[in-house]
Amino acid sequence: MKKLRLSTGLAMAMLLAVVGFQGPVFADAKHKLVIQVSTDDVRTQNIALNNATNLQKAMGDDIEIEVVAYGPGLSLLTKNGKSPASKRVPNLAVYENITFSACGNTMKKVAKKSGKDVTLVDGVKVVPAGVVRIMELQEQGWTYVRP
Amino acid sequence: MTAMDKISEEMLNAFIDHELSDDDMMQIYAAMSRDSDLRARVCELRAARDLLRSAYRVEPITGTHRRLPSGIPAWGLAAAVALLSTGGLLGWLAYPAWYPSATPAFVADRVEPDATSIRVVFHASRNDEEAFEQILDEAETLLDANKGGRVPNLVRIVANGEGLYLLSARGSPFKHRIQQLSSRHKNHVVFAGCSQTRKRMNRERGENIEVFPEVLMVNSGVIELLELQEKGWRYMPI
Repeated sequence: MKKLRLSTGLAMAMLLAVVGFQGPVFADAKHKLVIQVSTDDVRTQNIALNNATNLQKAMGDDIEIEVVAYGPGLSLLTKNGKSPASKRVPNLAVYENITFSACGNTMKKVAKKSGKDVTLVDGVKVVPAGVVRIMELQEQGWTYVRP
Repeated sequence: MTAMDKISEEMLNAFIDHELSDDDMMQIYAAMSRDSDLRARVCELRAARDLLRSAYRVEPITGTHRRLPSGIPAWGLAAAVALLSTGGLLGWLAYPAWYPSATPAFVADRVEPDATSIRVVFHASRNDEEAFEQILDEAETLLDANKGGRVPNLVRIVANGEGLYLLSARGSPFKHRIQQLSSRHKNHVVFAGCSQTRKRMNRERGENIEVFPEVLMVNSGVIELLELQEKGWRYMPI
């Protein structure tokens, strides 16, 4: 009987330890997601935008989303009309509170090649390097999805 | 949503068989501390399992079968039920004391994850059969390494967008591989399809995608990816 009481005590202690430990993890409800767009495939670009809007709808203020575009994926954020998906971006940036980051390195490369500066659609910010940006965000605890 | 809805039968069974990762065990413990229905459910499952085990232990291996008497008196049934529930309760109470990995070291494991356990979530968002075959190969390698290890490797394969076709009962060439992986590594591999994708394809293309019976449909593939990564799973896109 003494043994039983001991194990009951241990069980309670275990539970308390578990619950106490989980506490702070549960309290931080904020999710952060970075979505990588590195292809000029319009369907994939649209999927990336769909993922972002659907998550925003499902989680509201509980989620912070940043879309990082680099390489051929920069067409998503460029004003030259090469990607029809780019037309959706300003609206999402302004009204849906989704951050769009264009890769500065890619912009420089495209400018050098074509001889004129890249014009981004409204609401997009520039980061020095797309890949580095994704890496930094992941190091800060952001989760990552590449459609 | 209650904790019961979130934790599948499969998970609970894996839980009482000690086949879950530390993270998942912790989650269930935490959920149990909040949910009395869940506690009762685990208790029942554990009692049933223990009963099954002891039944096998008592059974003579020589193969001589003894018949149970056909008329079991009502008090016998009542006694059996009482014994069962007490046994289950005692089992649950005593459990952390006799199961070695449930000592405080178990909690420390969470801070410093077991280096031998790998948890990977693969993401198939395109209908790329060649890439998917690679995913299955990598998954199989990870799962085949689960031999007597304390914390098993876990694999989840999440398909959304065009990738959902890879899990489609009509059209996907991976029927046998999925079947084989799922049955050989039960509890350690989960194929998950995105319900949002299925709804969208139904709406936009009039398609009704039926997935293989081994596939678990989750509400949102992306949220699944997000949550697993937050629990420390490694993410591998196609």
